[in-house]
Amino acid sequence: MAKRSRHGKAGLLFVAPFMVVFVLTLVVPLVYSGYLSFFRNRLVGGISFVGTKNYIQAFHDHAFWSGLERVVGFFFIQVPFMLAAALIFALVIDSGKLRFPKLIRILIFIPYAVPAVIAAIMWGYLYGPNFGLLAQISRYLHTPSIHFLNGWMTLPSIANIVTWEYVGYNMIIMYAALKSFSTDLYEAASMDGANGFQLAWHIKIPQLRPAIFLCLIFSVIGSFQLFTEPYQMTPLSPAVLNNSFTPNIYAYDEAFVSQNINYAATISFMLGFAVLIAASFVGLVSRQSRKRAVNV
Amino acid sequence: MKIRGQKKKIIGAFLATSLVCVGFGLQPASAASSASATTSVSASAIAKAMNTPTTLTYWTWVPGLNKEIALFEKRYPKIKVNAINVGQGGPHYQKLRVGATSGKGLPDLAQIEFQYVPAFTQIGLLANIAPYVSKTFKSKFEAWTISQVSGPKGAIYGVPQDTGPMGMLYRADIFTKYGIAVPKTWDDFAAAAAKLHAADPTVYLANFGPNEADVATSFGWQAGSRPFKSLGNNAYKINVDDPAAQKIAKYWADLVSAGTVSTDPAWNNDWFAGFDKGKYATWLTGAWGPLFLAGQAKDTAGLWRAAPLPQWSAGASVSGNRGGSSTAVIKGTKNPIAAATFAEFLNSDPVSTPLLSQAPQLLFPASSAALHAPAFINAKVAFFGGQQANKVFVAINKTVAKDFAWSPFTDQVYQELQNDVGTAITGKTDVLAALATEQTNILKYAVDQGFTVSK
Repeated sequence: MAKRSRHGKAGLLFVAPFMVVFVLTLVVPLVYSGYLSFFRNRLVGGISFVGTKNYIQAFHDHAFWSGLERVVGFFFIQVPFMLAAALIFALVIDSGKLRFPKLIRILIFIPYAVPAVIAAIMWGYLYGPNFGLLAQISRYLHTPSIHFLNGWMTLPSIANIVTWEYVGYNMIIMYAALKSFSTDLYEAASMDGANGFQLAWHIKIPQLRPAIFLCLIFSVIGSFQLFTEPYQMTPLSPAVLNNSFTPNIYAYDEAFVSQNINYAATISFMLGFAVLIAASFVGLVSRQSRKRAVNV
Repeated sequence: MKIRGQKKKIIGAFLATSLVCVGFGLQPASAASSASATTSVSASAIAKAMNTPTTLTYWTWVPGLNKEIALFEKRYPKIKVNAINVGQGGPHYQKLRVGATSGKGLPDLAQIEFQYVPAFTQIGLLANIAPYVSKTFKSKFEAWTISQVSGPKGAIYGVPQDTGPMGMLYRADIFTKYGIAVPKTWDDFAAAAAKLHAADPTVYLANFGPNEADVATSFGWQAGSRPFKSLGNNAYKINVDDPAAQKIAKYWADLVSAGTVSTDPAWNNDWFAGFDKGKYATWLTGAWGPLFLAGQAKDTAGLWRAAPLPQWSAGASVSGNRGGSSTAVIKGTKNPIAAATFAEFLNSDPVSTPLLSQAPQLLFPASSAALHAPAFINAKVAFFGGQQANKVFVAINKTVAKDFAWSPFTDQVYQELQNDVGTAITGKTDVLAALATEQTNILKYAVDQGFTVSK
């Protein structure tokens, strides 16, 4: 008993540095934001307690919901492509049939090392409708240039940037998972005459399921929190990428343009709840499918 | 000089910032309070203050002020000035707002663009320097700039530093090639736009940027739109859809519908390239425009000329302003007299102020003396093919309408203008309906913020 409690104390000591940072940088601001969301600070009249009024307003706020719809739409457009690409890259590199696998792995991963701000500026140049690189190429080929950041094209164009940025990151997670699997099964399958595709489909992908779901959870959070890419590109397409394009942009705008810090906190919390629900749903689906896999 | 309010913050910083931003509800009391103190302080009080060892911190994004500061420190050896660039536009103002709410970390002086003077007066950040400035203060600056920094009851909330009276920069070579005369009226301008675009479909007389709310505001300034009027005691008359504003919106919507002006979003690489590659034959902008073009459209150096804005009635000469800053004293500074004296010195001293219009600052000064200095007014600008471009803008400066006032929430107004009207013009939907929506939304915002509003 005495021994156990001493272990307990050592454990606490080990997690203490993390806990201190965690509490100071996450829990405290979170609680404080939650506190703020029940107040209102007006330019005239100052601060007053408004109870759940901000939440009621947000619940009826078209700008918030349209932004949320957009990021959900974004999730369905972007994430399947990205995860499928990441999975294929991971399997191909893992198959050992590539020359220079390390080089290819690095090349796919490099965009993740580019800060999102820089990526947005770079792609903004490529997308430029008059003098952007893609427009110049289409002029050279005498084909009409595409307005990448106009109308319905905007969301796919941003999805393309996000995919470019994060496909390598997801690939690394899946590839690392693949590397951790025992090769016994692979050998047994090859003995039974399985080819590379069969090996991937019947052996590797089923085992990869937890890693894929992990990537999916990250992607849910990432999609709902979409901010940097559309925000940086606002000067390129101000009519479409407006102040409520995504919930995060809306929260930022409420805080720093409209000076409604409290309402911004409310929007952030609403978004937080939405992420929580979506992530739990993905978790639930994941558990169900794992159960089914075991039962089969 | 015009600097865009670029708000480059990532969301990670958001919670942390909002945490600092709001403090624990220590919102400074609203302005107005100390407005009674407009009687000047005595000469002996000023002499005493200027002999008290003081270090003044000055937040500004104007580069390289060390020469001017050295001149000031030579005159007043007890006072030291530290000019610090804490960010351009947006980030600079955010830091000021954080300081205003927490009451900590504020400078003694700060650069405030004219359109934000009421916003920072509203939150009680700017000191009334009327008691500390010299008796001749008002005569040292162009009259309309004084109205930009004035409050009720003779209060002065900043010293005008630079301005951007609106003119028309045009490509002389394109005008000559297609036989276009410099348009004197807006009707001429519309006709020229049609003629030019018909002659060469890749060239537009002008670009209407849907995100240039400040340009639209300056056009309104010229046309006589007066969207805001302070009635004191947090009461405002708000008419962003007044007849002049409707006239402007309709005018540009018609040009866009006719397809004779382009609608590229401004302030991005594609737009910069548009100037350099001759897509736009004019740029309607403030007096700082030449400087900006010289940097962004190097290939077209020597081809540009400056002229006044087209007029709404033939023979008139009225203009508006776009951009420009003041040097404001922050409330709570330990030595407000020294701070106000520095602000006045920097922007009106006969030796120091002419430096503001030279490299690296290259500002279009608000000081009358600096504006009319022969070296400035007669300078032949190579970028303008040797034209005396400053002379053109100095003349325009005289025609800037004096009575234009801002709201205490310019960011919100610009955003609504852009979201509603800018989008309607470029999307070719009903622009007058959009203007009415803008009015409704701004009224609602103002009421939500606790203002008393009337039309």
